[in-house]
Amino acid sequence: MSDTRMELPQGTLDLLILKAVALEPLHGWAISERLQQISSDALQVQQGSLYPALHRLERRGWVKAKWAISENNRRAKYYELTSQGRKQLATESAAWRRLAAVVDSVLNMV
Amino acid sequence: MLSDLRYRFRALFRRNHLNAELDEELRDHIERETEKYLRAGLPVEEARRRALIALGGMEQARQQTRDSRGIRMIEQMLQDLRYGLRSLGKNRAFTAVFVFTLALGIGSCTAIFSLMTAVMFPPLPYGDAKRLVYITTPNQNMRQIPPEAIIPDNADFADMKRESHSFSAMTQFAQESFKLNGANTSLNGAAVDEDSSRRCKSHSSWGAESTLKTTSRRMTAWW
Repeated sequence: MSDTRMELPQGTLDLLILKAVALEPLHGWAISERLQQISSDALQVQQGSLYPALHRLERRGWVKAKWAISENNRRAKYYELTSQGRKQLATESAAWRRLAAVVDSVLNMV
Repeated sequence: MLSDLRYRFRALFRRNHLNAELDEELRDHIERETEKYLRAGLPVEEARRRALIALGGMEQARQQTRDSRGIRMIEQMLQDLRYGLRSLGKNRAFTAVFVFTLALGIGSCTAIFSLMTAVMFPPLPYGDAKRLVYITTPNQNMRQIPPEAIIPDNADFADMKRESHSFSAMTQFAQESFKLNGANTSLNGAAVDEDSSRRCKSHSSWGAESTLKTTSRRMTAWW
């Protein structure tokens, strides 16, 4: 199973987190679940690097965190995209697509 | 940028609060992950073990997240400072010697410098130095010479001195070298006009004085 899972390239985790919280505020565990689900379990998201990334994004003002009561009546820390984070998500998505397209065109070279 | 700074300040001054929050956040994560494995039918112990493995260990996650707050350098510096102060507190004798040495060093340096300033660098004997100005006559035709090096011509100076009312006194000097009574060595000095000795409050340290007769007027030379 571990052979089919891909390690994330450096720096992409931030982008994926921003995307995951773009739809609705989520707590840390839900973010890691969401990323696994969307990628159909193909992505290996290290849960241990999830929290440093979340706190780094919070520091940069791209997400903001607040404590709320979750669906099972427990207190959980929810992360929410800020307007600045939304801009960052757009910029980084565009950069990622550009990079992917360039790499793809080089690989398709005959 | 501003939110970054605000975040770091909060991380620094409300450290305990943030650490408690982080612990709660990570505990919550472990519980949810454990429940996921429980739902899959694993026994409690095994479920918890897997949850911890998935996170990569509670302590590691805690440490890495703290590091991402961007204040590690300051935190370590504060730790070093606290450690230093604690060590000083424990070694009273060492601290006493250390403080005494420092006090002696700073005290003697200050004393020597105050003495040097007072004895070796006395202000030049101009009286009120704030009211002293330097008169030059820059010449457009002599660009290779710095303008402040061109002083008024003797005759111009005499006119200025007679007709100007803006200054309480005026005196003139020019660097020159002199020969004494046919001796072979020349002395560096300044040719000044006769008012110089009256303008300066004291000039004993300026060297010997002798009066020369020039063709136009009396000048005094000091060296």
